[in-house]
Amino acid sequence: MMLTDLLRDRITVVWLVLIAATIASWLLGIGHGLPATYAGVCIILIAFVKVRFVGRYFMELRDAPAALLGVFEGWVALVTVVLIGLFLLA
Amino acid sequence: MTLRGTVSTDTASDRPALRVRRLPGEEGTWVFLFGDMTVFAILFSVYLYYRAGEADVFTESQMRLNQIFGVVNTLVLLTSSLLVVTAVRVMRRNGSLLARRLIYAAMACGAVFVMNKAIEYGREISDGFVPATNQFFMYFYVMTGLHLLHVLLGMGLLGFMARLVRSGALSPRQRGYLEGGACFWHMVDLLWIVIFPLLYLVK
Repeated sequence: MMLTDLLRDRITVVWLVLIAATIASWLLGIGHGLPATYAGVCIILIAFVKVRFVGRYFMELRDAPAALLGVFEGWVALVTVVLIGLFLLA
Repeated sequence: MTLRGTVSTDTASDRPALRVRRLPGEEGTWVFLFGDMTVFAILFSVYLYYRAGEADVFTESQMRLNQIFGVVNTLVLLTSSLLVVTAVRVMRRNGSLLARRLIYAAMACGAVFVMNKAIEYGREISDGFVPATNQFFMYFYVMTGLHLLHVLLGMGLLGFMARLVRSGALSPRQRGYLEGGACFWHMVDLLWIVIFPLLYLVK
């Protein structure tokens, strides 16, 4: 079994997407004349898309029993809404 | 309703034609992980709540941070997670030696994270930014400090996992330990994915 066989897989694409998303939110954080509120909401949303990817692919929750996957998806949705709500309060 | 799925006995391939739902780790592991993640979620909420009251102080203090440390540490943890999930998949094919090397590589990533954090703390402190400076720096040290504790704990678990895979084929219980340890490490990554933008990026 070769390491290259294992890396020639969807999981490597997921990793690349996560790296790209990190760079994208960093650039958004530097700000390019975008309104800070708009950039902030985008940055939080990107973070939770990344969280979902880590849970589904790295923690392998997409293959987990539906109840566990449901708890995870519910947790992500709830925390995203609460944090964006509190951010917009400022 | 039980969380335990049917455990696949197919070791030749971890992507069977019919997808079998199975629980990574053990039920208790997930109770602990969600509990821990929720404690952090509350901390994130409290941080944003107080930030709303002193937005100027928080934004100005945030500008003092060097984002490069945060970005590099995010990339390091993402890479370590890929290494750990690959190690778990290798073990399903009984690739003991390769799995152990992947876990050691993930531990090296953890060490890079800790080193980065130490340099960053050192610079902030020598510039006079300590937890008592203001609310922002108080939250900065509490959040990153708690997370750092999790990184160190996770590195200990990775060490345990490296020893575990040395034995070759794993019993179902040992496989549960391996996957549970892996999920703890992914949680360390997941938490940093939220901490980094909240402290360094969001204005």
